[in-house]
Amino acid sequence: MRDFWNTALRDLGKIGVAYILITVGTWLVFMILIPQLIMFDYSLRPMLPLRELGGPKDVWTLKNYMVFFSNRLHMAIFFKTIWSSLIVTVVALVICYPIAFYLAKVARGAKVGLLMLGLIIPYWINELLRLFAWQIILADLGILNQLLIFLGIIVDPINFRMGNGAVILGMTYAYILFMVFPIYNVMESLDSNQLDAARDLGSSWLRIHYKIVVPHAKPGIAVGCTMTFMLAAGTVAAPQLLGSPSSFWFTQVINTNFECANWNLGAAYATVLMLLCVMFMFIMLKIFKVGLKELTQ
Amino acid sequence: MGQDVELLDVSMRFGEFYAARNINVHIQAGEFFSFLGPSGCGKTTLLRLISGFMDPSEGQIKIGGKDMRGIGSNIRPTAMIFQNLALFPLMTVENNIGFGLEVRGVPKAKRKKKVEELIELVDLYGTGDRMVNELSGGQMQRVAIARALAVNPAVLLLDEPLSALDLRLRSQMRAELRNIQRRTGVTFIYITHDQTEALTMSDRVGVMSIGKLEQVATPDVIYNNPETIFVASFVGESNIIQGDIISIDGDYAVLKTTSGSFFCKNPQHMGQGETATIFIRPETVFLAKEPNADNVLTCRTKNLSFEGAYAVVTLTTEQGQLLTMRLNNDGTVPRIEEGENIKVRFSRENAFLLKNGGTPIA
Amino acid sequence: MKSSNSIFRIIIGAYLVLFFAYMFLPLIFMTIIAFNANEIPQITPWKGFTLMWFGELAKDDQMWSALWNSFIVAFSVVAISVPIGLGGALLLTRLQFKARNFVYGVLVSPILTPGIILGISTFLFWDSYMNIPGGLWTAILGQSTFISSYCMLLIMSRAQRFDLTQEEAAFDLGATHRQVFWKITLPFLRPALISSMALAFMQSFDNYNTTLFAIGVEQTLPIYIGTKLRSFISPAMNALAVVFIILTVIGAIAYEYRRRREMIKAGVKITPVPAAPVLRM
Ligand SMILES: Nc1ncnc2c1ncn2[C@@H]1O[C@H](COP(=O)(O)OP(=O)(O)O)[C@@H](O)[C@H]1O
Ligand SMILES: [Mg+2]
Repeated sequence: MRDFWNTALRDLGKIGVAYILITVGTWLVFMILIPQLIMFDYSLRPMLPLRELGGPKDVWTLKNYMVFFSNRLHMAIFFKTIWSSLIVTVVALVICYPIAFYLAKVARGAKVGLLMLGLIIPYWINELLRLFAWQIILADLGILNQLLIFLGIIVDPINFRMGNGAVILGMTYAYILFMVFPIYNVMESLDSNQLDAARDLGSSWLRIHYKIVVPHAKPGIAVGCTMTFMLAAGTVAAPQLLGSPSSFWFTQVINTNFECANWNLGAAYATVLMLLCVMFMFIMLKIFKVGLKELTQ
Repeated sequence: MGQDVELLDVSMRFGEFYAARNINVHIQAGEFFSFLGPSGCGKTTLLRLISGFMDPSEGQIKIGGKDMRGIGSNIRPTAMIFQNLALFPLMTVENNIGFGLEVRGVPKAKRKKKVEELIELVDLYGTGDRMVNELSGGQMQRVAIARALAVNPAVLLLDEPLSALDLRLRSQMRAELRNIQRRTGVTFIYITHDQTEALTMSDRVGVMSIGKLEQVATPDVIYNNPETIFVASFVGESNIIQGDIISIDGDYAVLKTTSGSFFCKNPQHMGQGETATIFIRPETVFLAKEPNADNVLTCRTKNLSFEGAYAVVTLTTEQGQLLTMRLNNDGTVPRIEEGENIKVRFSRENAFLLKNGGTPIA
Repeated sequence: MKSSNSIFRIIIGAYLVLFFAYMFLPLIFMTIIAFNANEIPQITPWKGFTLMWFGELAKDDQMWSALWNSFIVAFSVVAISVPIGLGGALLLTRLQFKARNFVYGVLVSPILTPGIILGISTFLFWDSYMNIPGGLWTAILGQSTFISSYCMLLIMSRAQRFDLTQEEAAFDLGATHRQVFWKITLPFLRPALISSMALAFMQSFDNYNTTLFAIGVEQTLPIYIGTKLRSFISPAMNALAVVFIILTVIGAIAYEYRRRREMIKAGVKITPVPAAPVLRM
């Protein structure tokens, strides 16, 4: 321990060490840890009128979580959120894997830069506007209905926003690029000679991907899946803009709790969502056998 | 002007591992001193201790008579030339060389003058406003030297500075370094794993094995009178014959081996009955003219390779003892065929008896 | 062999065309609609070319005040996140300690946390616990929580390539810690610091989920857009989208241009791909 401080002071100086301690300390304590703990604390306390706060009734309880687990509608919404996010994640992975591989290992020269620009531009356009584009396409008088009517496939416009399809479609579009870049980044570091050698030995494409590319790209795939799932499960915008008023999503339930000023219940629901995402991440780490360290390298 | 550097029982421990153990050496002011040893033996560690990037776990380092513990490298009168040079890539040559003066607040005009002097000293005309990564390897080397000399160090520490250069450039730079050292009078502490480099440039050489300083002496003594098995085997080539001491005669001893008994120097004054090893340089093995003299071996030539100025002959005795002989091509050497039986001898003055043990280099 | 190769290329080509059509067609529709005089934001019926939606957008005071707020928030986030990110990067690349991996995990965890959670927890802490009412301030803190992680990763990826002997050389030549930092370390990190400023700004400017819960009753531009899109949809939103798209395209091209120039300046071979369009996460 003394060694640690001596080396730190020797390498970075007093001001340097103080700078690190202050910036990281503030961030870690006041922005990351305490707010999380406070939210957790809230989720464990009953909602009470102001005058009873700190009183005998203000004790830790699992009541808020019980409310969630006993509410069949909310549980159904929760599971809908899970499987929809899974669909989004899998679809994004299937679509993006070839794109990432093509960009990283097949395309050459100026083409790569151009295609990359083609990915960066939609990636940087605001999430809400990307969803808005689909709001327009899927509207009753929208392009898709017009096209289907023009082709004679349907007579009356379909209300695409009735079910959950529009939300899933929108989420896929909005978050798909969070899958491309992490996979691309790891694939780029794959030694092309390895692929050439495998091909010379007569391995089929399927085998090359299964044996060489996928194992190498595992950390990137894990990150991409974690990010995409987290974004899909945690989005407020997609259900707000594309969901039907009759079919709520989990983030909307959380939102409603806060709008009804039941912060304690809202905090409990938010904690559930948080746990879901953490669990998903650990499942990804387990499936792809990568460490937390590799995940964010 | 140079200052002396004294290492008193210096040890450096990383966890459980000693990178240097009980090092004692007194390097004189104005001396060109080399640490010679295989890679990983702790040379860089010693240099970093002297320059102040870390303090020794035990022991004391004195520069100019002053204890250096706790004194940072920015205050010590040393300057280091790093193994990878560590030039500042975002600066021009001039700014690199002038860096030490700039951070000391030397005014611009004075700084410029000093930088110009140094550019002249290290022969870098016309490169002053170039970026360092536009330079050739040799030029970068010179920038590193000039940058270190700019702060008028009393001690210059050089960490294998020539290892990245090609052979020709290396021998040229050797001469230049030696020259600069003479002109400036700065104490040079030079690190290398290349024995030729150490032997040709240095006033004294300290030979290191893993974490240990084996012998400190002038180059000729290191070569001719190695004190330990490690030094004898690391510096230059040697023939090695093992056996037991059967009698002592003053500074000499007789060693009984499977290939016969030999008279040798006994610098470590080992006693009768000890097992020991004889070291004989290949160039001190000759063809025997008088077959009945001391230290004669009967051998069969296994291999003969002619290298111009000399020929290297590999021999083996009946008992399987290998021997290498280096014959100067002075016109007196009779023609030797491979597979021929010959007699060779060596003088007792050129054969050393050293203690077994330590860490010999194969 | 030859023919299977060309079939393969056709498949790849078709796939790319489809993919980029999927990416860009919705954006193109959205753009075209901004110029349609139709009240409903649709391409058909086409009622003639107009710029009136841009005019309508410009007349919207709410939009301007939301935009102003967005700038305040974004600049504040840059001012907070980049220094914190630098601190984190120095901590993780320069100091050796046992809990390093754990601390690393905690410091990047905000990136992997849903934005809504960050917004809620920030709001609960400051508004309800510390009695500092939610507003731009809490939005800034909520956003900075995860944007600092991005900045840290970006700066770290460059700091890891730093040759520490350069600092030692500078010390050895007599520099103080402060001089070493300003003359050696900082110039080396400068490109990463600039990128992380740009990244922090864009992340903040685009943020919806965290802001929505942290900001209370105030509005940034994305909150304004969200409110508009939920209620009454006017082609003025398309006009806003066009502005966003144009700025994004310019930004992306400027980024690429700057990157190439840097690489030429540094004398390294120009790699065809931007190294960190998003970070190496
Ligand atoms: N900071 C350090 N931490 C742990 N071990 C080290 C450190 N520096 C050097 N060593 C170890 O000390 C030994 C000597 O290293 P070094 O002095 O660099 O050798 P040389 O320069 O002679 O090649 C090596 O085994 C190396 O691994
Ligand atoms: Mg070394």
